[in-house]
Amino acid sequence: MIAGEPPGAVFGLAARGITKRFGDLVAVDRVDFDVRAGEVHALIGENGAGKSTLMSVLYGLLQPDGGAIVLHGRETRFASCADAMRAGIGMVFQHFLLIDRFTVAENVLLGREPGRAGFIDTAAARSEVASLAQKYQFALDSSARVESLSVGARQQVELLKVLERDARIVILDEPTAALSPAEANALFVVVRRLRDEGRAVILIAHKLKEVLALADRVTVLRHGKVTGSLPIADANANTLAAMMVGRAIDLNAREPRRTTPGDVALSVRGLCAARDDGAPAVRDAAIDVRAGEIIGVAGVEGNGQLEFAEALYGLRSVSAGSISLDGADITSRSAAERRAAGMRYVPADRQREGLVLDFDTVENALLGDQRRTRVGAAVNLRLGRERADAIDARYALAGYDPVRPARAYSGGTQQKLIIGREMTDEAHALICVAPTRGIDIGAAATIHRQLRGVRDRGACVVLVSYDLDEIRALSDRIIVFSEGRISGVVMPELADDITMGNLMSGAASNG
Amino acid sequence: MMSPGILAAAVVKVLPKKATPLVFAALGGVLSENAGIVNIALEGIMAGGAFAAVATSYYTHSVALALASALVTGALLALVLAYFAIAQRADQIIVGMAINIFAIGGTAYLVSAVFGQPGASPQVAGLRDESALTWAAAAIVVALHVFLYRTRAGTHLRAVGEEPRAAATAGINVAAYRYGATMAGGALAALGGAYLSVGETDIYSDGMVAGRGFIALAAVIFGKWTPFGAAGACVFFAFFSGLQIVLQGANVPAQLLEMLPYLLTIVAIAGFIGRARPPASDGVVYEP
Amino acid sequence: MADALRRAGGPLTALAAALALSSLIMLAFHANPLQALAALFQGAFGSEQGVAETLVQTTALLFAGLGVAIAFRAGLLNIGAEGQLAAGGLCTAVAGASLHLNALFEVPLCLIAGAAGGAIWGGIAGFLRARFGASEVITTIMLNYVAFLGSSYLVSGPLRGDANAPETAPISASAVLPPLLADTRLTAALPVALALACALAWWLRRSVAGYELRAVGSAERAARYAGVDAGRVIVQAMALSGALAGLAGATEVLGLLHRFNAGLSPGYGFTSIAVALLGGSDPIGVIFSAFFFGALQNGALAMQALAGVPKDLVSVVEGLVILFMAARWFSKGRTCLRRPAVAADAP
Repeated sequence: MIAGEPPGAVFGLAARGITKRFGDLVAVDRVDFDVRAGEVHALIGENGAGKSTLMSVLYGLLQPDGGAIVLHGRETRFASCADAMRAGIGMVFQHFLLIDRFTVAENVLLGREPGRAGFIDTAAARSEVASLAQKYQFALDSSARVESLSVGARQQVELLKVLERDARIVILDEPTAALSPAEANALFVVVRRLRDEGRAVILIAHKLKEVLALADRVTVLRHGKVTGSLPIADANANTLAAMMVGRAIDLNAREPRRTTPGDVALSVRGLCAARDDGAPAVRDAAIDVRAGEIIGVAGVEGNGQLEFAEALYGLRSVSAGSISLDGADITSRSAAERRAAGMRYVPADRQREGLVLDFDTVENALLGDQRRTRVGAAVNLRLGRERADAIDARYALAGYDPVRPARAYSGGTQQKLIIGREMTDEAHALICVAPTRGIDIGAAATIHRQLRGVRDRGACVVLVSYDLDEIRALSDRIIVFSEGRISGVVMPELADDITMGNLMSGAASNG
Repeated sequence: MMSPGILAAAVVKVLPKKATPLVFAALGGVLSENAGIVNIALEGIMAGGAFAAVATSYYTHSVALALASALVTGALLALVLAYFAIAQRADQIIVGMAINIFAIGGTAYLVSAVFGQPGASPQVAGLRDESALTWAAAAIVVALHVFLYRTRAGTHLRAVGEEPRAAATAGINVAAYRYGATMAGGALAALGGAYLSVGETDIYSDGMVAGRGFIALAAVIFGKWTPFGAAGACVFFAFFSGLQIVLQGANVPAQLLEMLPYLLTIVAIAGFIGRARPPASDGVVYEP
Repeated sequence: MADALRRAGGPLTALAAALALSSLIMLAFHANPLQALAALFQGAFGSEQGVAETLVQTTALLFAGLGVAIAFRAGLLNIGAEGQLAAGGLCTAVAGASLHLNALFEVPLCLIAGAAGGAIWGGIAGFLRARFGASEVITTIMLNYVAFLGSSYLVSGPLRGDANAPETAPISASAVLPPLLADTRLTAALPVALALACALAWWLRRSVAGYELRAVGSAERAARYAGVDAGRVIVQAMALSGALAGLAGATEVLGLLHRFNAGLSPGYGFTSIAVALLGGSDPIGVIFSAFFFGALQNGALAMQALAGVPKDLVSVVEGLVILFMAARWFSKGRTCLRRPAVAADAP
């Protein structure tokens, strides 16, 4: 029995005093957390707060160092996630575990395929999954290959995997991270249905608005400890954020502008670019960005914004249109030449694009400029050292050592290294893609401050982000991408969810 | 000058001889790569199988035992690859090269040590009718296709090669499938080597595999990692290999003809004849 | 210095394990490992002639090993040293026989011809990989066979110098590499190789081109972000790698055989992979591992003659060394190539 529980309410999953250590780091520190039938219990916290670790323990992927798991009132151990699944727990991970080449039916029934004597009855599999999909009103073709599905549809396949095993306890890890507002709303409908079916739902989220809309209870984790657990009626965004960070932070506050934008610095006309597989990604994009202005580029992931940013920086060739910087046409210039003209780029995939992990800090501080700043045939290590020292001075890199390979730094420190390298005074035109993705609130606030600083120094900034709140907080103007086209230009004050949702899904356009 | 008809007929006659060892090796490659393990040690495994068959035949005079020993040798050599790839998380291509060097050098060493004469073994009892192995190869092509695409185990094997994490959370034992597929693949490849020794020539000589293991690897890629595709590619390569034998009397220099299979492999690999994706996790180190 | 010793710890342990296992094999065939080792030592270091010959083997392995190491650092596995060596040797032999200049010009020109031949042969594989995504593992192996057969054809026919044997005409006297030690086969090729290794060490660690090559080998997407044209780097790396192997063939022709024939390549192709791996793909490390394998190969002949152990055992040792080096025990994945590119990389 869990203390304070009304008698008889034994159905549910609970963590009682769970502790998990990784070496010296205490990732989860004597946490109590429980979920009952017919409720949605949200678990929120910054990156590294311990949410994923706690869920991994509850799902049998990790063994706790202390405490116990209580299932339906009885203490249990899960030796593996197979145990947890057998016990009726299902989890939908943030990064889907789907086999692209297999069909929906094959993915949902993997490991439990119908058939006799070792052979698979494909027809039975297909119809079984089709009827399950229909029951939850998922518009899925059970014989379609997963690789042909949208992100929202893929998530539905993941949900089907969980529902096919009739999991009574469902864990959803950041489910709306890659969904459009419309797809997110569809998901909410499903989550409410699961709750109404009497299942227990754990929702790991960091979008406070969603938590407030969907959850019945919310628990906040910070540095592995519970800092608050309350029914939703007693919670609001600011108090939750404060519990997450330990101080009052309103990340979404807009700051008053201190400067006025100058002349047009970056000008794009009729830009067309293709994806790696040749399909068109950007169609006829046009925008003027002024010096001292932040343009927010909004849109559901995969609608061409990334290719747009890459084309601006010179990582992707342009099939039509033009780009000019300070009046000079740079459309056919290489990335190195654009860097020389003052363009900088913070890539989406930090670890794989922004750094060479095997190179040391000094060599990484020169990445992109190695040829331009060379001394004869040699790399300018002295300059690299100066840069690395300067980045450390400005951002305080944890464990800074000039000859340490980048691989040895933590993810957050690696991000700071890249941002420090790119957001310098030399940056005249800065292009960022999802700069605070996966970064905790404290560091995100620093990055926001730096972005505003770059703008105030007179640079033009193109900010691609999949976080609408971030876009609204930082942008001076917002453009929205939908299916490769700019479907609209919106001022941040007018960028409410409905307007943005319509523009992002292409249901409306004002471009 | 021979007419095209007679030329073609002559090549077709020699086609099974040329294709069979390639098909065995290629099927071995298909099996292990569909489970996610790249096996470039096919050449060394063929050599190992060829030698083991001859050595066993030399001592036991039994062709059946000779073939069995080839299977065992192939499985053991492949086990080395599987162990280092799975348990040691080593780079599969480097491990494969190591096995090639080790096996080819080892068989040369053993020829001297066992038979007392360097370079080649004495003649041993071999298969009277090696076409039995050709029929077996054809049957295995069909069986492997059915296994991979129609059975539960085969589908699980392919899942392991595509997304081991998804397979693991579905309760599939990733390591077991990878070990099993690699070892079975090795056994098949070794059988291809045995075909060359106790099937065709009844001796073992250094270098008799002559790059067939690598051509088989190309056939796997060319055949898009499917049994029928790889077998078809082998027949295609074998055709040109046969052409070289048949044209030997003509005015074309022998060496230029001998080059044909190798040049063709390069052309095929460069994608002039189509390209496809391998299993998504093929060759990727899996850290559970 | 301490850092270098620590880095050498892995390879040395791998070596010890390989030797131990090989000893077991020898015991299984009633050979005496200690006797074999003694004979090996005797052959490799026992006399002035022996040491010189060891250094001769070292030289060729050093060139080829440097080539494989450079390719490794760019993320490529070059198995084509055999073919590139043959291509280089053939070009050198032809140049040496056709030119009759002052030695001061002739020798460098012939060496350049050899490097060029190897560079082209390696460059083909690099181009196929960069342009079509064709695995360089397979293309270089195929090109080995093509090179062997092609050169064999050429020296039997069009390029045959002497009517009696399938080989090219002897090179002119001014093309011969000056010997380093009288009555031995040791030539000026050795200092050339050592100098090249030092130059490559600097180039790899300090030059912009070396930086970009390492970036492509280690993190191709980041390299692209840094403005590096990965395709160009891949072709250049394979060409450089082939050029070094070609130099191995060139020095073989200019220093030892004075002509090209079909028996030129003494099987350095696979050994050079072992050399590169054991040397940690670092030019200075390769110097030491080339010396080790040179001693091994030279001593193996004595081992066969004196202790009756077939010299192919050396291949077994090589294979085991590579195997253990690849394992996590010893190298922490340092030799791990990015991933095997048996299909096209994303552009």
